[in-house]
Amino acid sequence: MNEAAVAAWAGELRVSLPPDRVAGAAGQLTGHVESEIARNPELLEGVEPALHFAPGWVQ
Amino acid sequence: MNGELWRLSMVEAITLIERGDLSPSELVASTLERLETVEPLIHAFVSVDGDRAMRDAHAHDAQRAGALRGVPLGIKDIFDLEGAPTGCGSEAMAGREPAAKDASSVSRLRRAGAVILGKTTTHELACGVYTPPTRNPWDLSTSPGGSSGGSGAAVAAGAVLGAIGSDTGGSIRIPAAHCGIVGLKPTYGRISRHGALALSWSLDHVGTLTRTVEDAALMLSLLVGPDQSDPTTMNQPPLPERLLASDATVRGLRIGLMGTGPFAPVSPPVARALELVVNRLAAEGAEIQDVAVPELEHGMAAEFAIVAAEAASYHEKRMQEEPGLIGDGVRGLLETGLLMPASAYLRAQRVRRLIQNAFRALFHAHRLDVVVAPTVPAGPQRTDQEAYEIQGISELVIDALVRTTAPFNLTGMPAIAVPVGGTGSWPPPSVQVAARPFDEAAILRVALQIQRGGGRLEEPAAMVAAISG
Repeated sequence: MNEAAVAAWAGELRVSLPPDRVAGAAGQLTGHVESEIARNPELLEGVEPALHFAPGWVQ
Repeated sequence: MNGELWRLSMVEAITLIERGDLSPSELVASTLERLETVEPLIHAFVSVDGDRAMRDAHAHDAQRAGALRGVPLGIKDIFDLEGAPTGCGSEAMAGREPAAKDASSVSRLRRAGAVILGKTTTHELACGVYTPPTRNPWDLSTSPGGSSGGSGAAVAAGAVLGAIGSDTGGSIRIPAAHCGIVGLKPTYGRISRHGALALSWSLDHVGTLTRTVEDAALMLSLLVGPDQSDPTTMNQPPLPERLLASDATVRGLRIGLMGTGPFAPVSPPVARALELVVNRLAAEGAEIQDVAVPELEHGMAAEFAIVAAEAASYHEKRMQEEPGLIGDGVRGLLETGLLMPASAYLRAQRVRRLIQNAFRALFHAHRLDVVVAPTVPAGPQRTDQEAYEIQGISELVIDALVRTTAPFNLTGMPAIAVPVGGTGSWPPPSVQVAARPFDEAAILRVALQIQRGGGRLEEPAAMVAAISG
């Protein structure tokens, strides 16, 4: 992700992100935003988020 | 009773106390003496209250009450302990007031007759796999793992007979593996998290570190149950009345072997240990089959996204006010979490459901009772080691250790790490056993069989060398 954009985004959100930490944050965000599954959203078609633990397994 | 009482397992000590052959104060005094000997070497404790421990032990001499009968335990320093500050291994938590009351899990252990010796170290904010300044009792140049590294080192070195820890991506099973002991992460919601620091609400599990499988079963039986203060505990089925029968076998059990995807590559000693276990279980009558969950390809990304987002939310005020007090590694994770779009977090939670569904389908399709996998891919890392070289592939230590453990945090399945004795490697390599949610009895049964095949655990080599030399 563009480092200047990440720095600006942090500023908008009032997240403390000193200049020497922008590159690290940009790198990690890139990993999350551009993951393989993000590029292939059809893999998650019909799958709801696991916001509650609902095992539902028959013993 | 004389001798090195710290060598006893919890079950052995309780048996002696019930027979009248040992008093709780003798046991606690001997364990405190051992703690004082090993602590300058391993640095596993942030605080020890020997006076209170001895007072409590003398009270148990008189009462002989509770299932634990005065057994001495350690508590990871993310759990509240009445009268002690909860430091969480972080400068950001320094100067906190002492806790006004015990965490729910600590309270249950005390009611069951535990004597708390002290608080054990944690990697900062329960988020990491090194736990400085603690050292591994098998080799003082290596890490005990983390984040429950103090609990792992203390139990392995004999400074306590058991301890509690937390596991969000492997933080009980990794130190258990590195320190050659048993680490149990029960089903999500089995044990109350109330009174403990959160790292990731939806992934945090409370569990135990012990020297034997029987001790793990005992602690589990005392820790589980509904707690109004933690809603995730309210809908759990009870444990079976006979959680772990001493004559239990694995005959007829259907066991899936997970050796691909995130469970590969592993170092040669770990591969040999896994093979040894599979052969032993098959020889005892279990039916073994190779299985895989391809959806785990996306598991690591999901684990880190969920932890980053939830931890950032939990620590948001701290990050606004004093971000400089948080160490670089953890701070980076929190910064990422604060900047991450909600869609990335929800995508990770959808991936998690995908993986949960895949495991459920796997268990149904193959009629599995448990799956077996390596706990971690390699032995303990040096305290300054950043990467492993495994089968010619270089990998960050944290990525390597978490890829094999986090799958069972994402699914919420119970998982137990067991040392595999008899391999000639020290500390003994570890394998983990996982089962359907709430089927802790199945993993304990298989773990007991693995333990039987390896014989009694020995005193960690670095302790023997340092103390006798």
